[in-house]
Parts: sequence; structure tokens; C-alpha cells
Amino acid sequence: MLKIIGIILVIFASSKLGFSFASRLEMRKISLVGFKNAFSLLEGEISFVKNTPQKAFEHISALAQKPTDSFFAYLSQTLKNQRISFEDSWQKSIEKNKSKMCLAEADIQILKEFSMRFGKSDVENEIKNIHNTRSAISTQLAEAKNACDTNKKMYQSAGVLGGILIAVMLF
Amino acid sequence: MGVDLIFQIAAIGIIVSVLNQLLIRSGREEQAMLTTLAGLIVVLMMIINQISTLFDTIKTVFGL
Repeated sequence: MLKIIGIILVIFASSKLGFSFASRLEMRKISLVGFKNAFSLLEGEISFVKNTPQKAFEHISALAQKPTDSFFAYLSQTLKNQRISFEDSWQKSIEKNKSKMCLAEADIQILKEFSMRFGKSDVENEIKNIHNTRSAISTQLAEAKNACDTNKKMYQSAGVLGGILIAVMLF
Repeated sequence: MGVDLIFQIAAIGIIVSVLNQLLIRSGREEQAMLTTLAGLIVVLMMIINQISTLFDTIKTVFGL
């Protein structure tokens, strides 16, 4: 009886590990899509509504999908503190949310570069900065979609099969 | 020697071959090869005692 429970636990744990790796790939894809949409909204906020960054990001956090909504919500909260610069607020928000969003190093680098350029020029250049960042994110998104399509099923299957293999070897 | 050992080896062989195919189709040929080698080593370690017993039995039977 204990043997059967042990086998089930081993298989379950290994499968969970495999599915966890697969869901990280999916989450990265969803986060990048969320950022791409958020940058489109930001462009609208800057060019048409002409809101302050804090108000703009508050609106974006209300419209954005998970998990990027918590990123922008935290950002707009930290921007309310006048003593902290936009770049620092943005980077703090990245550090706080990066594990939830499962972003790669390259994705984080693109977002950090955006924060270094944002808020330092006129509206036209801000729009160019947003377009530039959005196209960089599109490239990363294509790579993330490719990685997800190739590897998701593999991680899930390898998790289950690995668990069965360990159970057979041990018991 | 129990029959369980045979079933264990058969199960390991099937699972390793499925993992091998999975990894090859995902474009990870090197990892597929490593998985196959690891499975082979594990099975050899499982049967090494049986092979030793076999050689001892042969020596006894033929008086070598």
C-alpha cells in the first residue's frame, strides 16, 4: 500500500515539475503580449489623452491583462512618490514582478532600456521610443512563441515519463 | 532471479525509448543520446549481479 502511495507521489511530483516548466514558457508569452498591448495603450495615452505618466499607467493597469496589470499597478503606486525617478520606479517594478511574469533576461533588458529613455524628450520622440520598444518586444514574442510551441509538450511529457521511470527504478 | 527484474528492465526500455523519440523530435539529439546512454547504464547496473552469478554458475558447472 505504501509502495503504491510512494509511486503516485513520485509520478505526481515529477509531472508537476514538468508542467511547471511548461507553464513558465506560456507565462512568458502571455506577459510579452501584455506588454505589447500596454505599450499601444501608452502611445494613445501620451499622444491623444496627454495624461501624466502616473495617471497613464494607472489607466493601463486597469485595462491590462494578468500578469502585466500588477506590474503597472505597482509602477503607478511608486510613481505617486514624487521623490523617486521614473527609471527607478520602473526598475523596482520589474524586480518585484519578474518572477511572476517569467521574463527572460533579454526581455528585462529591453524593458530597462525603455525606462532609461522614457520621459526625457518631446511627445514625438516618446512615440518613437515606444514603437522601438514594441518592435523589440515583438521579436522576443516571436522567439517565445517558437520556444513554447517546441518545448511545452516536451516538458510536460518528459515530466510524466521521468516520474514513471524513477518509480520503476526505485520500486 | 525474479520475473520482476525482467518487467522492470522492459519498462525502463520502453520509457527510455519514448523519451528518446520525444527529445529527438524537439531537436535535442544530444540530450536524447545522453538519456539512452543513462538508461543503458542503469539497466547494466541492475543486471551486473545476475551476470556475476551466471559466470560463477558456469564455472561451477564446468569445474573451471
